Parts: sequence; structure tokens; C-alpha cells
Amino acid sequence: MAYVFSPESIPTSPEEVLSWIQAGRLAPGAAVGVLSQWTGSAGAAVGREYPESAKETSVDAVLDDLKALVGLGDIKRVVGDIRAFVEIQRLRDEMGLVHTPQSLHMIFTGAPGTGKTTVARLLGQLFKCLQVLPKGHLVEVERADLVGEYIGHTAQKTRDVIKRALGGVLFVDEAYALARGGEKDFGKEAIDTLVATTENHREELLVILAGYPDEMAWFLETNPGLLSRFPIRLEFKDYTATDLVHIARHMLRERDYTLSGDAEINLFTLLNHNEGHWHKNAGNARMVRNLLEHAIRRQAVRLHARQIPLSRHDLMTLSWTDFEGGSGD
Amino acid sequence: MELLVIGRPHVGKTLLMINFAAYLGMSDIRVEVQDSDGRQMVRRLTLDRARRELVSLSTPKTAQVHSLTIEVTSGRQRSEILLVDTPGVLEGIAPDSRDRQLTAQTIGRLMRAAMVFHVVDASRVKSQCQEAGESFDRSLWQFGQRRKGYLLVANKVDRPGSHEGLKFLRDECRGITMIPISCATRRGFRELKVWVCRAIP
Repeated sequence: MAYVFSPESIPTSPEEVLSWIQAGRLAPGAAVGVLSQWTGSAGAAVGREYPESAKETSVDAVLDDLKALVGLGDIKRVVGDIRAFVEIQRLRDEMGLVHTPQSLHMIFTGAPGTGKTTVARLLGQLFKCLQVLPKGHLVEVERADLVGEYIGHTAQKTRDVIKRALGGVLFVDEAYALARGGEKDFGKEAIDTLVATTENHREELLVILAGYPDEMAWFLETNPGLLSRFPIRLEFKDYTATDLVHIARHMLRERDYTLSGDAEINLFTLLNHNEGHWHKNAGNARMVRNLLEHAIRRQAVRLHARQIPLSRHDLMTLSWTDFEGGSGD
Repeated sequence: MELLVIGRPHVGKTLLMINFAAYLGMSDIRVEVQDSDGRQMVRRLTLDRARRELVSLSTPKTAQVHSLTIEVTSGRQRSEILLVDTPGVLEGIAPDSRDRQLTAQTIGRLMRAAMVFHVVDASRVKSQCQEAGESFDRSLWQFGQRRKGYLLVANKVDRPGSHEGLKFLRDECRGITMIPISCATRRGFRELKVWVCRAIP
């Protein structure tokens, strides 16, 4: 121990090293030397706050997170299926049975605000826990990140993005925009590159194409190879009125607000009454959030006008009068 | 996520932090100052004012741990990074107990940070390392070989003598990523940004 100034003893924990520095028993260079001995072997002392090690979640924890999402019954079932498939494949592998190569690329279709991005993030984590993907991070891109400005630029740009996503999930939001420019558009080149590389990196990359239902249907028609290369299709249905009220309650709890009795009943009636009649891009969960944010502002105005002192209950409660008048758009 | 800037006094840690923020397109910085009792104070400074107030040529100015939040955008992903500037770490055991306390604080942060910029003065690193047998810089880069998210930043490459310094560093630190930069001429910041984007876990 050439580093240490009092040779009879050496510090045994990082905390001790720090207190030794403070007490003047250890020079900073020596301290780093001592600390670096622990870096390689025991990860406990160093890198406690590394996002990766902190995220040592189990498969069940990720599935619990997924279960905690409101609605999305079909999606949860499909994800459960995929999990079973992956685990059984692993067991088969251990027994020396033939390993079926798996293509897990997916297409997410759904109206705005139905949880596509949220589910994509969870899937990344899930596949990491299942050791299908080495890193399990999510790279979220859109048309502008893939399509270049001049001939030849696009393929290079797309390849860069894929390189960044290797080992994790590549989530292409509004994927139909890639085909929207017509025949001469560079978007086609991006699709071709994407399709080619997804085949080559099947084991280490999960590609998810997401978009609105009608546009995605048209997008898949434009490129015949796409449909077969993305075998798993998840359809995010619009939330039901009950789901939306659940979501509203959850959002409000996060912000320390509650609904008064009449507000809850009337909100449910409003959502229930309109179920199936919303404009198709009304926004689902996002629409609920906008409604609530508007109500929160109205509540502030209502309370501000009152002269009597306000209780905690008053400050927390949204009544139906705050909602009346819609979201003001 | 924390990015810690560490190094000896007068290698340009604070100016690196300010200029890096400027390179990323920030017009003013919110400097969060944490004093030794752990109280947080926030000051809002324009970049010019920050350079005037936080950087000096002669006396060590950074006497506290500063931090500021930057946003790095690559594609659609935004990552918030807390840039943490530390007081320079003196060689050997400091006689003053306050200095020792700051050193302990700095090294404590070093253990927790996800990314580390270890800044050295390219024009002087050779002589500094040859004077002292076991120097702080040397043990830091040995430490860097064992962990992820460590970058050796060779600052002041515009200075005379930096050429030998860089050669010395290349020989000494094999297997460590090193980026030569100059805060005065703003050289090398692009590479820093690329490195940060890649190192984000």
C-alpha cells in the first residue's frame, strides 16, 4: 500500500476514504487510487447512481408497470404472450432443441394519446430483462431524423440512427410520414434502408413503427414487404369512458387535486355520452389532460374571486362548475 | 444524470463548463451553488458575466461546487445533464481543513457521477506528472480505465508546449479516450458533445 500514509490501516469503505481526506490522513491522489481498487470488482461502492444499475428491474416489475396502465387489455395480453414465447424459447435452447429465430418487430397503430410511446418504453425494458436485447434503451425518431437532404444522404442518416439504436428499441413515430412524399421523395429510401437492416440485425434490434390507424394502413399498402417483416401488430383502441375517468383521477391525484362528487358523475356522463362519437383525433388521454388543465385554471379563477379564507379542501377540489364550458378550445 | 468536471487547479474547469454550455446554445446559465453545509443557492448569470465572475487567471476562484443543468438533444431524445464544476484538487494533503473538506466533497461526487470529464492542462501536464511520483492526475486516469463514462480532456492545446504534453498523455494513457480541446479558441467542443451523446446510458 504505497498510497496510504498511515500504513498500519487502510480505509475499508468509500465513506471512510472521504472522512480520511477530510481529516488530512489521505492525499487526494492516493484516495482515488484506493477507491479505484473497488471500482472493478465490487460495483456496490462505485456507480451507485448509474441509471443502469439502478434499473436492475425484474421482468415482473416491468409487467407490473404495464399492468398499472389503465385499459389496454389487448396490449397487455399480447405482451404476456411475447414474454411466454421468449422464455420458452430460452428453455428449449437450454435443452438443445431447435431454436426458432424470432422476429419481434412491431407495428403500433392507434389514435393520438392512446399510450403508444409509453408502451414502447416498457417493451424496451422488458426485452432487456428477458435478455433479448442487450441494452434495452429506446431511441425515438421521426421522419426528420431519418430522411436526408440530398441523394445518398438518407441511407447514411438512417444507418446512423440504427447504429445508435442497436441493442435497444428503435421507435419510429408517425412512420407513415416516410411514405407521404410520393415517388421521388427520399422517404422511400429511408424505408428501404430500414427494412434491409432490420433483417440483418434481427437479434439485436427491435423496430417499432407507430402511427394513426388510417395513415398506417395506407403506409403498409405502399410497401408490400413491410407487412411480413413486422409480424406483431398491436392496435391501441380508444379508451372507454370508464378508462378515461380512471385516467383523470390518476392525473389529478398526481397534482394534488380531487373531483367533487357532482364533478365525477357529470364527467363520467359527459365522456360516456360521447363515447364513440369523438372526432377520431380528439386525443383520448391527452384530451382528458387538457380538460383537467382547463378546469384547474377555472377553479383558480373561481377561488380567487371569493373573499373568505380558503381551506385545504377548497384548494384541492374541482367542482363541476369548473368543467362546464368544455376545454375552451 | 451527473457530469462531473474534475482536475487540478488552473486547468480550466470552470471555463470549460461555461463554454460548453455556450456551445450547446445556452444564452444564460443558472448556477446552482452548493455551499459546504449543503444549502442550495441559485444565481442566474449571462455567459459573459459568468466568465468575468467565475474565472480568473491568477487565484483559484472556484471555492464551491457549482452545478448547472444543460440539455443535450440528439434526434428526438432530450437528456438533461447536470454539469458539476468542482474546485481544483491540490496535490498532497492540503494544510487547510476547508480545502480538505472540499476535496472530500469532490471525490464523493466523483464516485456517484455517471460521467466524468477529467481536465488536464496539456501544456503543463508533463512537467507536473514528472515532478510528483504518484500524482492525482495519474491515479485519476488509472481510475478512469476501470470505469465507464470517463473522458480525459486535454485543455489549453493552443498553448506552447501542449504538443509534447499531448504526446506524453498518449503514451501514458493507452486505452483511455482523450479529447484535446482549447477553451480559449473553442476547439474540440463538437467532439465533446458527440462523446456526451454517446456516453448517455
